[in-house]
Amino acid sequence: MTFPTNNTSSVTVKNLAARKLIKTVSTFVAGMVGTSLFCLGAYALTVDRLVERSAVPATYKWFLLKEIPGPRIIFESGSNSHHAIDTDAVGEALGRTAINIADNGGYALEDKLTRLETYTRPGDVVVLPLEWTFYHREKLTDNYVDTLFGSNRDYYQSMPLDKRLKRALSLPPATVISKLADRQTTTNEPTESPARDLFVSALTQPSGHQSRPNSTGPGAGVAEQSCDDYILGKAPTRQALTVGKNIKPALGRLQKLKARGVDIHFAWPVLAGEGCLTDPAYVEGFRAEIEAAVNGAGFEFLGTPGQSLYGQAYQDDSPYHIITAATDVHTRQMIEFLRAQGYGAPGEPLNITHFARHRLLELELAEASQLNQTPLEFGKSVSFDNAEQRDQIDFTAGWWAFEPYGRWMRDNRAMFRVTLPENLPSNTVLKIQGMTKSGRPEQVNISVNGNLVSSGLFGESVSLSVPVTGLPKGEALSIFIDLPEAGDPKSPKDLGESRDARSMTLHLQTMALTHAVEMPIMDEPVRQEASPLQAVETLESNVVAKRATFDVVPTLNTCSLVTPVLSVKQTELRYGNGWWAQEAEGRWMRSEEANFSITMPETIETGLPTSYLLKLTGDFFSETPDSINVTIDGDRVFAAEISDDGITSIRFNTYKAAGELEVTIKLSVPKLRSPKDLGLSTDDRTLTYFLKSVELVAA
Amino acid sequence: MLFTDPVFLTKFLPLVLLGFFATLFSKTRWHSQILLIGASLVFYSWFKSEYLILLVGSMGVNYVLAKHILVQPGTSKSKRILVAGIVANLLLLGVYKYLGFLTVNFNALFDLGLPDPKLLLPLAISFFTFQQISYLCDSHAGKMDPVSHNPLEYALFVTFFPQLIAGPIVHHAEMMPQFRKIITPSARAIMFCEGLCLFALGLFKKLAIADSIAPYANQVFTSVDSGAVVTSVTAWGGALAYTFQIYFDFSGYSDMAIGLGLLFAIRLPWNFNSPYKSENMSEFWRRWHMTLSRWLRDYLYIPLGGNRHGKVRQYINNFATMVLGGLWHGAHWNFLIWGALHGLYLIINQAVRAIAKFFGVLEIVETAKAIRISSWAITFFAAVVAWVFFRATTTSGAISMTLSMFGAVAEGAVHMPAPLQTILWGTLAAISAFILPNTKEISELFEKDLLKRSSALIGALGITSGVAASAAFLASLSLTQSPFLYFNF
Repeated sequence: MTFPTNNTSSVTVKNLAARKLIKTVSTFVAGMVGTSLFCLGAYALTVDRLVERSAVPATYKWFLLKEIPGPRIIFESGSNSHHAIDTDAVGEALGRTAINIADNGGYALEDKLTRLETYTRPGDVVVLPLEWTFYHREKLTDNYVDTLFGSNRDYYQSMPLDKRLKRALSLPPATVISKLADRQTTTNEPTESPARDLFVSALTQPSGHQSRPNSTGPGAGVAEQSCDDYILGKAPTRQALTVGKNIKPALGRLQKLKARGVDIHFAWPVLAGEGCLTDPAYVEGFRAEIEAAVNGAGFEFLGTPGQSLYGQAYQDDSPYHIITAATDVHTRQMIEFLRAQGYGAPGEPLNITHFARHRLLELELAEASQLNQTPLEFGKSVSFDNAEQRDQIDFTAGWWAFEPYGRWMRDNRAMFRVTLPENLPSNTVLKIQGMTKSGRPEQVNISVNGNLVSSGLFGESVSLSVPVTGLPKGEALSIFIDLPEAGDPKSPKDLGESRDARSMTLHLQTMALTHAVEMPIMDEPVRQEASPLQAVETLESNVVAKRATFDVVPTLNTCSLVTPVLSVKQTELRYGNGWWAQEAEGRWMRSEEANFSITMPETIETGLPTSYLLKLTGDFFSETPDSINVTIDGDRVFAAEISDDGITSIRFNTYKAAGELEVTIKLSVPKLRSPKDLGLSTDDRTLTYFLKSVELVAA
Repeated sequence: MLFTDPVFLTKFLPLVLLGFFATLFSKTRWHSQILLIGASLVFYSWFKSEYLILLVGSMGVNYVLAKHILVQPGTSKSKRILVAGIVANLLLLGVYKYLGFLTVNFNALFDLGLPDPKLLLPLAISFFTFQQISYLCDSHAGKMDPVSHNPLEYALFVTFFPQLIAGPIVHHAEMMPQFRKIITPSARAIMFCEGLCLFALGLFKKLAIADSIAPYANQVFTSVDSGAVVTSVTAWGGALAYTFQIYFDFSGYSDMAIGLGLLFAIRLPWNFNSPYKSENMSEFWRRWHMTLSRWLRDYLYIPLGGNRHGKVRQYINNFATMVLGGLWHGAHWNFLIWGALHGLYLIINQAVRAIAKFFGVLEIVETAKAIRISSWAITFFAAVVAWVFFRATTTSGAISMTLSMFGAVAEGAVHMPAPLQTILWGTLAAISAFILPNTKEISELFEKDLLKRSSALIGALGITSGVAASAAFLASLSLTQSPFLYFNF
């Protein structure tokens, strides 16, 4: 339509209408598009925030993929290869590090490819014995979606931004809302020593493979259906199977990976059981389609499906899981396949356990976040096993889980963090007690915030004293423990003690901020009714009393005129042989004999013998023994007296003015018994005497 | 290809729209018509290409028949052609839809041992058959202009993909003039916005509401169909869940279809108008699946005599129409019972009105608030009961569930508590169905000169559409999706 040039009003009206139309449409479209983008963006951001983050991978498989240096042979698929490929054996046979990152057949193929793209390096070899379902399943599974926020977070975190956005916008709102609700109700407890589960795997299945020596019996839904039904569904479904739409792009991505220098081979998943690969519709039809797609993309299969087929006797809990006997056969076959590809060469695969020991600690340290801790309290003991006080210790790296009496270091290095309170006395030390796995004192270096502050022996009878004077107060201090002279850590399993495969070094039990030196007696308020001479002598004795390892109580009323001493209440004994583990109030003797050492109270050396009274407080297990003999310093035996209140006293004289007293207790017990013997509990430890405390006073 | 398929949304629709807008630059209309017919045939064949021949064949035969009828409409010759056409159409429908049902029942009655043909129902056959029958009838009745009977427009009338699969059941009189209508760019732009809004709302109704309620309804009905007896609460819960599921599923689909039509500047007829707000069954059928009701009225009820032969005949006609309407949905006794129930409801409704009129209280009945609320409750309640037969796949299951709803619960009845998700979405569905304005009312905001409305309102419509679209998209991420219910019919 045209308008007369001189009819300006009609032009104006038309222009106005057009502008109004444009404004209306653009307002609507902008509102719709803008709102959609905002809603979807908010959703993606919510998903992103909900997925856990950590420098330490959530699973050992991810650790292997991310951290183990190459060139490697990597097995990637679902659980069938987790059991079927012994990568330790592959690595050894081919002289090359082999890792098994196969995890679950229900996980997304696209995301598996993303992790290969992100973490493989030129020279790596990837073998893909993908389960049959990977070739046709296009949708995410419930299990994968549910775990993507936690145990499978590394899949998400390894993605580039565009794939992350796509993945976030493929997760169902019901799951996201449920995770959001969980986040609201879960308290954010600090993650303590997050790599310890990975460390277990590093010790027990270092290259990622797990074998099953014996069948655990069919899992849920396995016995009720044939092998073919289990693998690809009922006959009508599996006969109609075709390669999924996602396979072509997946192969395209693998081609790019290959162009980057990563060798890629396909393989068939293992199957064990009766009725496997019997239906020609998928054995021939579907398989042919898969092979055509794979071969068409320039890849090849190692072997045939028939070569991955094992009998019912080799099935574990599902047709995809085989037991060790079949794993050995299958692994040997795989080694030959790989050797035929030219991968065998003389060489040593990496010692993955050794590597993991160090790298996991570094990752845990990297994971350590800023802390806002409750400071320690001066004079108050904090147990390494006390859950109530966990907010005072951050077990940053290198620890096994809590145990009743403390916590084991899993290797020769570990770190924990504590915060010092304000206004500490100038001579304060952090005193740490525990024991060593070897039973012998070990050389230990302590660094605080990266500076070496203490070095010396540590063991059951030698505590660690970390000087803290001058260290920052009110902020978390990194206390790093290093055993520079210890060899590779041993586990109870290594030592033939039990089946516990955890490697252990130090077992820390308590710590407390305490004085580095004794308090001067002048500060004590309990000087009462002492004679002037006594007072003078006591003052003199305290001038030389410099050892401050114990709680010190002035014993003015009990000290003799000749040899004034301080009594020592030995709440912290140095136990020797013959004791069971430390319990809350003391320790049980294992049998009739046990020894310990105590520090003598400081005296003024006079050249005369000093009389002492050694008081042992404790309980006998089943009956009071006929006699108790105590040997002091190895050769002098004293008969003990037992009072009605359970205190066993020994009087003795010694010329010794300072140092350690070695004490051996010998009981005369008719028969050794355990609580189990008496029908009290299932505890089968033989018990005789429960020593609660020891006091040494001048007699 | 479903309207909710990513392939449809990200590839098919944008491509067809682009092509369509490109054809607008052409001076002839047939470019766009060919494009839309081609796109519709691709859309149809995406489901099962084998049935494309059936669709094209049916279309061709009916076109030729109509052409012959239009030579001398109203004559005995044209009547013979019409009858032949109707028979041919019903035969086609009967073979694919009812032959199996009839075989099974004859075998049961007479022990004939006839083999069950087990024919797969061609998609949309009920819909395109009805549309073509109406075209033949109107051709014979002289309601068609022979000049307008051309193959392209006829093909587009039958196959236009937004309505091809599950309606609305369109009438040639409302469609074909639109193919020829000149639409200004501004009107086209506004229709496009309206279409986007309706499509988004329809997506939301289907994916967010209907599919969220569906799992519970499926769980309850699957149980009763497999012989379980459920508690009263469970039975009512399941029936209510399905009541809302089918409404939001089908009306959502219809909204999407209408929205898609508007993107191409074709206004399809409304199919729903808040049926659960109805105060009697006659009103319900004026608000529920309106295009089917219209078709049944125009091509079944009225030809049967309608209300022209006295009350009793009217009741019989109503009953027969509803029973046949029930059977149109599928070859199963449950659909027949569902139709019969609705026929009965209509008879009761008309009888009550006649009695009220006789006593001179009809006006009071129609205006008194308490009576209106009661009528609404009874109507809704009756519809819920009838849906049990519509949904159950076995007659025994439907009867068992109905008995449970009415308290006849045997010992050991199974209680299935509704999950929180169902309760929340069910509540939203109820509020939306009973109180909120429906999509037709929202759409009218566009139709009544959108340009004169405030920017805030236009923006609000855009934001609403955006929220609906994104919520629908997120809901579509659910790992289990229900197909459109009316695809079965």
